[in-house]
Amino acid sequence: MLLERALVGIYLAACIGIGIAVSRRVFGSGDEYWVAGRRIGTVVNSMAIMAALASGGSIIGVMGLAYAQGIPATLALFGGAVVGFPLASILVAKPLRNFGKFTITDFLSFRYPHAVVRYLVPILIVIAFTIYIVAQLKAAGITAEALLGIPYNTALTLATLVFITYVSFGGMVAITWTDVIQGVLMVFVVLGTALVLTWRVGSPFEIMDQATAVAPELGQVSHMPVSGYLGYFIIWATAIPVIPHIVMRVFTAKDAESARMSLNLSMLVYSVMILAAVLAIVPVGRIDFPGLQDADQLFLRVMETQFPPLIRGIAVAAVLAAVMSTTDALLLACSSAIAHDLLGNALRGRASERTLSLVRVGSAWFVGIAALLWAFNPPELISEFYTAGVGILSASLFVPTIAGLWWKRANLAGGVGAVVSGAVAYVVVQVGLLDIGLAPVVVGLAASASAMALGGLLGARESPDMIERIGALHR
Amino acid sequence: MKSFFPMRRSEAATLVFLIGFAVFAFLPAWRTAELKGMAVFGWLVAALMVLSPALALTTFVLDRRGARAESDDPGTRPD
Repeated sequence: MLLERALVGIYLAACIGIGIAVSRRVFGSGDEYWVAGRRIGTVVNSMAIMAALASGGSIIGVMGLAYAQGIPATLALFGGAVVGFPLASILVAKPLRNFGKFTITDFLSFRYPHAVVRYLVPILIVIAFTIYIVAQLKAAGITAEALLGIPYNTALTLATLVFITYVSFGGMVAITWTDVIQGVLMVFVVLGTALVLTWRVGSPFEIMDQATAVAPELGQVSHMPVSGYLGYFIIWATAIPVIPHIVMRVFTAKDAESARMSLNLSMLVYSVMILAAVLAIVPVGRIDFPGLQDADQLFLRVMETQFPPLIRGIAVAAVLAAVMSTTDALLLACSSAIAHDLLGNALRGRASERTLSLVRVGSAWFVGIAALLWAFNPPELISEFYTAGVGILSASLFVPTIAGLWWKRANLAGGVGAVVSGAVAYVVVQVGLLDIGLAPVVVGLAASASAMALGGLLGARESPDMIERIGALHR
Repeated sequence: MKSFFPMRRSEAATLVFLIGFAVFAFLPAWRTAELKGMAVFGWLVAALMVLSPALALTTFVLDRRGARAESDDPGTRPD
């Protein structure tokens, strides 16, 4: 236990060290703070994007889910996010990078200049991402409690203070470099474990044959209605092109081409990692531990029985890295919704750069502490809860963003209608006020698309100047 | 006036292929058919996870090479 704690301590100290080291450069400039000066290269950005997407769920959760609900159901959930990245690279990466601002709200408020868009979008982001952060904090607390023997609340407070410190002072530059370290650690641990297990048994196909011989349900599709599989797939596939912590990564790229390449490179690495976990580690774990009460313990049990303490310590750091690399990106995106989208417009021109810097730091601490307090008593079924949070962003932002970039008839009426109707329809179906047998995100997207079509076809045409400016983003 | 901003043909084809592949993977028949102990649906989604970023990357690289070759071609350079 001592060795594991020491390794995790070194890792946490390194994260804070990076935050403090870059804070002097970052503190006085919004461009440096929010988007790392827009000069992140393709390979570094790829690894940072991969780490931002790969949360605790991508190590602990993916294996637990595959163990409990079978491999096909798990791949359907994670496959949606992977497909979302090529969609993002084709549909939004180039025009948004050429737009050259900081957040998705910047683009939507430019395309649909109305107070509803300017205020509703960041409020939706703050709500959805606070829920998302709480889920990640809970994962960090549970992991540290199980593997390091540290009480849940202590572990939660410690991890939260560490990442609020490096995010609030180091901004996107600190997040990028800590995410690169965290991403490499995750890939190393998961791929290394999968390779060792595969080498011991023979080949991935032999592992699957042996595992499904003793547990046929591992490879079957039987745990969820079809609408469930499809709903999760669509939520993530449509969320990725508009979800703020990924969109901010597009703005950090040195140019549009680099943004597109890094989105796809990151997903190649992520897919290989997820497939290695699900097709190698899970089947071996299913054979060795047939009756686990808590499926999320699978990876930890495999590590305990198959590897020495040093490797186990690195594995604990990798799990915490997965949690923190997503949480820090979420925290920055959430604080940007407050400091940049909501307060920034009101303060710009009236406040000094130092005041704006303090607002940025204060926002990160405000969101982080609020999430910490909630995470002391987190809701049950947290993964469903945060997927629902992401769902509202898909339902309300996907259509207006894509139409705003590609459809010349998209106009103010359509944009405002699409944001509002997508959010309202999603919430109505999600909370059970209306049940028509379709996933909430499908209903939300359909409502949003209908509002956009009606507004675009029946409302006033967009000005030639706006059409020209959007056209320039594609060149 | 056309209603949409133009998209490169290769990118549009990639988009159509990805959406088509996803629809194909979710067809009901693949949920019961099995290969190596797992539903074919699972293998198809696994393939989609690797194929989709690889295909998009290939499209961008080929487009970039094509654009470079065009700009290097003396016949297409402005005098």
